[in-house]
Amino acid sequence: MGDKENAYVLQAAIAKAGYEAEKATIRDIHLKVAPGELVGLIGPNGAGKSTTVKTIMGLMPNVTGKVEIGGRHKRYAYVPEQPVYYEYFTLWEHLRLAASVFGITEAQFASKAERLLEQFRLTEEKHHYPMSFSKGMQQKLMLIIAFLLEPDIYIVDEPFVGLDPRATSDFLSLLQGELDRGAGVLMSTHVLDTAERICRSFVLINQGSIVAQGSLDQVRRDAGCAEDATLSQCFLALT
Amino acid sequence: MMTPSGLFFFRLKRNIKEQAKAWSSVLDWTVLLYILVPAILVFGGLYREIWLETPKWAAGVPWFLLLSIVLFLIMAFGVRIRIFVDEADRLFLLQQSRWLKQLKRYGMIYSFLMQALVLVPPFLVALPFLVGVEQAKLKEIGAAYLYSLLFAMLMSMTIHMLAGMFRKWRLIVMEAIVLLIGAAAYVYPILTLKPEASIFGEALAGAAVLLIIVVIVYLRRPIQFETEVKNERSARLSSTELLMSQVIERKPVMKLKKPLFMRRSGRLFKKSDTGTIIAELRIIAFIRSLSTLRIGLGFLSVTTGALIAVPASAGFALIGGFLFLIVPWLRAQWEQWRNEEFVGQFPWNTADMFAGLRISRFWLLLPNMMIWSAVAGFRLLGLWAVLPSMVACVLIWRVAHTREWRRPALKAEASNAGRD
Repeated sequence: MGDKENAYVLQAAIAKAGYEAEKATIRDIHLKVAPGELVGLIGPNGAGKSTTVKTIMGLMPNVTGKVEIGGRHKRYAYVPEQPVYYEYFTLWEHLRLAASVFGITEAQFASKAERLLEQFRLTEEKHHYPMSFSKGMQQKLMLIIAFLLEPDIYIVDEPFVGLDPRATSDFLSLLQGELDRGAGVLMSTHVLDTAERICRSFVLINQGSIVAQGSLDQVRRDAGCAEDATLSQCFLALT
Repeated sequence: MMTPSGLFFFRLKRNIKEQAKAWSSVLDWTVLLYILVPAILVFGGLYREIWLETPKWAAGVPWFLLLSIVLFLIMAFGVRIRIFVDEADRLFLLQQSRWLKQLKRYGMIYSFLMQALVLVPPFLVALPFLVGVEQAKLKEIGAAYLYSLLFAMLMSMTIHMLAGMFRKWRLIVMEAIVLLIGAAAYVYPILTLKPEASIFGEALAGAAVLLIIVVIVYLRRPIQFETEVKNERSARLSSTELLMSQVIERKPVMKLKKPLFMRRSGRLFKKSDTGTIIAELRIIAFIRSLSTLRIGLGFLSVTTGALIAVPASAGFALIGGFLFLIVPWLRAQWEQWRNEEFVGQFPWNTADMFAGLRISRFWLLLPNMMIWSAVAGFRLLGLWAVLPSMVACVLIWRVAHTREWRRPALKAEASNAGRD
């Protein structure tokens, strides 16, 4: 694989996308995520963040544009805001199915899954149904599945909702490990202070289009804010 | 480790268990002992008698037409394609097209087998009449079954794919077009079912070719995941909804910002008495509830097709028969609406409630009466008879609704219609 192919783990050039052919929900969304880069997808409620994520995942019925997953395996992992799980599988069976789907061998799977369960303190619950978990534990399951797959790009929707401070810290340190491995992260969030601290660049969306993009300095310039303005101040100025 | 076939059969097994659990909640041993077993004995005996000697009343009934109407209604509203996808598949299965394709393949085979089973009972019930009255040979009946099966699969695949391609009013229009074309394309070859009729063979071949094309297109198209999940969820809940239809809250089929009908919350009638207002709300609710409207339109299209197919002299008599089918259904819909939480919270007056039922029924069935009478009149006496037939039918329909209010039996019904 050439350097050019390795340059980005996600490239999206969406001219328009929506549920109906004539009614675009998002327009002109162009974003790229490089290996090891954490990009924050920011915007008010109803701005088009979820539609952007759905378009990247190929869930929107009407899309004009191109979405390309790059990297070694061309594989993404999705962590939804609201945990989704199979009512009829235990935590361990969830992980086994995910491993089966991606051709991970039983031996590789078992050791890695055990390690992740330990890290997220869910070893005791490995044979429980996720339905019996708290929302925070269900959210941890979403993260464990994502980390198990070692994807090229993580698409993470509001990861901090429902996590306690310790789980948030675990999540962030594991995410850092994945960034160091060369994975990219596209993270949609409203927790702007954390986003400001951990994201290398930002994509601000409002009313279905990008209103600012790039590093925090670039966002400050786009928003017409002072050099020391916070992301939150830029957000308020732009939306 | 798990395989696509393993996952499919796991989900299928779980679905069978779920359905069995739902049905066993109402079919306990008392139901089996006091209702099902006697019913099987009584109807079994009756069925045997019909085989031994065809009853006289059955002679004038167009059995193939009746069977084709029932089968078409089953095809249009009673069968569906299931591929057993799950909301959680978006986590990781979504990016594995091989797994999804396998689920699609197994799902289509399963749906085909299910449809083959669902179509058997109507054929079994009609069999003695088809043989005794219509003098149909088993070969012809077998061909009709095969055609019905191919057509059922074709219809369900087409409607399934339309749901992934269109939304809101476009989907309704497309479904209505498919239902109308489907009704004509299905009923006509069934009615021409004679050994010498080459059209049946052609229709059979046509349905097979179309089905193959639709299957190939469906397999090659990328999965419309959200539509498939929605479809699967509704299929999983269908038994429960059927069994619990009187107690569960009905949710709208789709979310709209503004209604498609009466977009500015206007009025239908000038009068403002309570009965008229209830009738007006009932009519608006009926039309805005797309599922009931779809069934109503489906019934209208199938029955109109039947009026075109039967001998002209039987047309007006058949309209009476249609009313025997549609009026109880409309009444059941009324009961459901009347018992909805919001409607049910008010202390309605009995007379007002009954007036609402009467007025709404008159207006909701008026278009049917006009279309049916126009078709029956045209077929019996030609173009000049269209308008007089419509006027006569509307007048009779009007009088029936004015008169029934004075009938003692229906006054008793009125006491049940209110909630006081």
